Amino acid sequence: MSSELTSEDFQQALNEYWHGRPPSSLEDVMALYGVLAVVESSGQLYRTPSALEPFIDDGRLVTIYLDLTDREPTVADIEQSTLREEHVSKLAYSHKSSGRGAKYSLTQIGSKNGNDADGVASTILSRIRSWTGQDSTQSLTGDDGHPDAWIIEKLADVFEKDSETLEGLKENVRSLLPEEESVPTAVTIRFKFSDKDVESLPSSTEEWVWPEDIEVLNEAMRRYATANAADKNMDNDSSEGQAVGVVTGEPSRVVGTPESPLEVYSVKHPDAQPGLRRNQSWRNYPVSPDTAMLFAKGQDLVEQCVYRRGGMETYAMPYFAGEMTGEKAEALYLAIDSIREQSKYVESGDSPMAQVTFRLQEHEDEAVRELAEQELRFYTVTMPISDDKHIVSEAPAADTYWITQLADALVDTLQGPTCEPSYGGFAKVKNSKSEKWPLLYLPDDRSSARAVAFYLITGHEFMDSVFAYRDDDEGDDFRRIADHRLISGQQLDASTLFDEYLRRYDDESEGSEQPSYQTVAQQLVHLETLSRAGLLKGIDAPIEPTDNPMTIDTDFDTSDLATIREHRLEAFLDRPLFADSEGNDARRATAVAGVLVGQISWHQENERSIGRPLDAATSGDQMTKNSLENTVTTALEKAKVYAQDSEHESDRDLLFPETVDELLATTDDMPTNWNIDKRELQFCYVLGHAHGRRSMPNAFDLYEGNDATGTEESTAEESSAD
Amino acid sequence: MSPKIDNDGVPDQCLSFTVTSSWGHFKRVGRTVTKQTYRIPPRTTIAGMVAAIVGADRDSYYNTFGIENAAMAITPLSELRTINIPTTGLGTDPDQDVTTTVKKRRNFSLTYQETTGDRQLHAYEVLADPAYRIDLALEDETFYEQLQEHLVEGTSVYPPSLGKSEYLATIKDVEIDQTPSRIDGESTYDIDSVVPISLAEAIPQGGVTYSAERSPAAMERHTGGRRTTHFDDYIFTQQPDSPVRVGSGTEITPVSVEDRTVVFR
Repeated sequence: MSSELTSEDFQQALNEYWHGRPPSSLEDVMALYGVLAVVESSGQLYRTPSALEPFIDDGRLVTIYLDLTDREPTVADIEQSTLREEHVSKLAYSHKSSGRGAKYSLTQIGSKNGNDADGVASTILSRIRSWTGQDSTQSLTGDDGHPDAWIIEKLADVFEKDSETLEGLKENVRSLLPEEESVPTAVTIRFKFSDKDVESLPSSTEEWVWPEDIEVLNEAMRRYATANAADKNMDNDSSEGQAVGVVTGEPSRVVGTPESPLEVYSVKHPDAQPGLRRNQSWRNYPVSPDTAMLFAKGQDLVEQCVYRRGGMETYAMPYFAGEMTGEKAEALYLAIDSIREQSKYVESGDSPMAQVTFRLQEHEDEAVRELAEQELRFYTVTMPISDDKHIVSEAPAADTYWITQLADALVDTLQGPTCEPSYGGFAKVKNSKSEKWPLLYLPDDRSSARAVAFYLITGHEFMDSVFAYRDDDEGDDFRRIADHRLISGQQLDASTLFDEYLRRYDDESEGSEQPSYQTVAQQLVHLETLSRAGLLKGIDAPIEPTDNPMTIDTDFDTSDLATIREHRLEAFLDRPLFADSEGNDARRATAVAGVLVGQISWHQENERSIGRPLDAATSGDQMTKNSLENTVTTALEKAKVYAQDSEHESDRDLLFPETVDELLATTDDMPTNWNIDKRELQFCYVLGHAHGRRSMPNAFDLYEGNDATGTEESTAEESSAD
Repeated sequence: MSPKIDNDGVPDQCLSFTVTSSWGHFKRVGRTVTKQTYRIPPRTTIAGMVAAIVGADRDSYYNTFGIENAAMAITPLSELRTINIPTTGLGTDPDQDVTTTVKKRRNFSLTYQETTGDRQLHAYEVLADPAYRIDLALEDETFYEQLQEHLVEGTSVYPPSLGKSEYLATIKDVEIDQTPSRIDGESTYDIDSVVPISLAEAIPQGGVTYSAERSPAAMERHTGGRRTTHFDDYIFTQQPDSPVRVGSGTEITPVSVEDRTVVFR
């Protein structure tokens, strides 16, 4: 159906239902989606011709001819025919999908599966009776009512319960229709009026007037369809008045309990809102009935824009920040509609925000691409998935600027020394199936890599893979708040990040098992990416290495394990994070201490088969200056002791001499004298430790000498690491 | 002499003051599940706060703060950071089942809060350390003079607060007799205050994030209550040091007050 829509259709709907102001609030966006949905459903806000589609050519239309020319209404005739396409607009049908009872329009339908003669006589006719008796229909009668409301009064007389006319109608229907056959049926009424009895009647109508042309019936339909918007969650009361609409900006009748597609507004719980007078809600939240209907209508499109993950749902509703036009509305509709399709880069089910962005940014029409560049915004709202709605975070005008910055920074980080083992970095994972380590793999091609990075960020994985786990029922998920801060360009504080990283480190530790090095590697990638994108604060040094990865010196002697280790350690430490900062080199010292502990522990485990290596005593997230001092002291002792019976010649005096030398060169003080915060110490320690643990395995990998043991051990290590 | 406001909404004089608090909460309309806050106090909220200082009666001051006869510019001075604070509490609505009325004794009846009921969890989104500079001009002479007096003396009839009564506001750096001067002839303007334009009219700047809000701007008294007569769209930046950049083609009139460029509304 969507392919048949044109920008003119959208322009027409905008002209009719859109206020003209560029969207600036959640209400605006919801109303805009309502307008798009109006186009989707054939251009009507209240009427739902599509609901009659199953009836066309297969169903029957029962028409009651009601003559209102005399004082007493009389049923002139009842007729049955096949329901044809040309009838649809005349019937002015408005479907009510929820609940039982009468549909919104005077024209009523029965079951899609068909009704027999008795069903039509009882069920459908009683729906017409129910329609005429609705409070909202009847609200048009009375002194301040509609000038043509007498038509409704006459209808009510005819369809009065147990009245002669109603019973007569039922009889007629039963005799008119075949008794056994069950056919989908619509019942409508055509009217005959004396001249000038009806104020709003178009002059061109036939003698027998269809519901379409009778304004008071349409108004009753609108009232009925929006009745809920004024009395939801109220007993025998309603909230409505005359005021300036929050969306329309124009004075009109307004209602106080409009539909709320995200369920963020209701007057259901006065206890949660001290002093709430439910019937006065229209004063603070004045919504015109048409707008309330637009909200309801846009619901399905809003639901396209949700991304659910880990107990939280994030709505990212795209819109254009400028004035709406038919072309923009069409582009927007098609982009939202496309979320149902497969994306080019990643399987469907990925974040709608990324899908919509790519759909528009890679559009074949240059005008749309330009529009995406300049005006595309997202209204984002994050809530826990729960009946108890609660907004955790919200950004009214999120654009893709910061996400793009971050995506670029992530690609740069992965292509830089941090993920290059020959330059002291951590190894990437080999393929995209490594779902466990999403921050350690991107495609080689830069534009695909950027796209995947964009998906990782909008799909929450960027944050979820390094922050502490949250339980589903934990309420405010800080990871989503952090997502929102990044999208709106607010920097994250380093101390907050260190704390999250180490809590995650703890989450990843299973009993005495240490987290694998990828846990820490991802965190360094994360931190470095934020720093590169300018979204990190609270630390005196940039995180990203200053060297251009293209100029990295990888030309070193790879025929000697000790040389490889030394080169890698130097390169690892050659980053601003570990540089001397105003006479304080505690971060560097901590990292080097971590490296040594990691190296000794690896040696104990792999060369000496010690079941409980040095680093098992204190895990990284528990490390204090005191425990680090104890651990480092032990590590230094072991380095000496083990060296005496090492097989490698270079280790004759001291195991891992490059690290010990580096530590002694960095500081004369013991850890208890270092000037460093606890979490910062812990993060630098786990970074160094992860490097140290991988020091020998990486050296074996890079080793190109003749020593056969090197390659063998390397293979062994790789398989055990997996 | 009270200020005169011209057809572009620019006053010939105004007063300025800074309002700060540890917390702020300007409850958004249309949200009930979380008590969310606007980042920028609505124009009507500033009106209410100023009316509190002067001691104006409830529902009495809306006409003083009409779109035509009042001009206000709001300049955020702090990072507009919010925190969700879950609070547990008892409702205070006498119609709810949380209060008890003691049996009448002569002419006295005492209603007190039933404190044994179940607490309810209410989440409030609040602004942390909000601070705004307000430039204000009112054509209502009596009101304007009273306000000046109170501000200069550092007094108020009712204590001003930022949203909720417990977020008491501090008012400082009061300057009266300011003369806003129009800025003309530039191709772009960097505006410190919030700007009543649409998002698309703000010129993008690297590293600056624009945000938008639609909030009540003026109200009127109406059958035992009040109703909003104007809503405004505002653009502001997430970074308080970064102004909103606007081209000369928009329908706003930037003026200079102190060393700031602001737009009155």
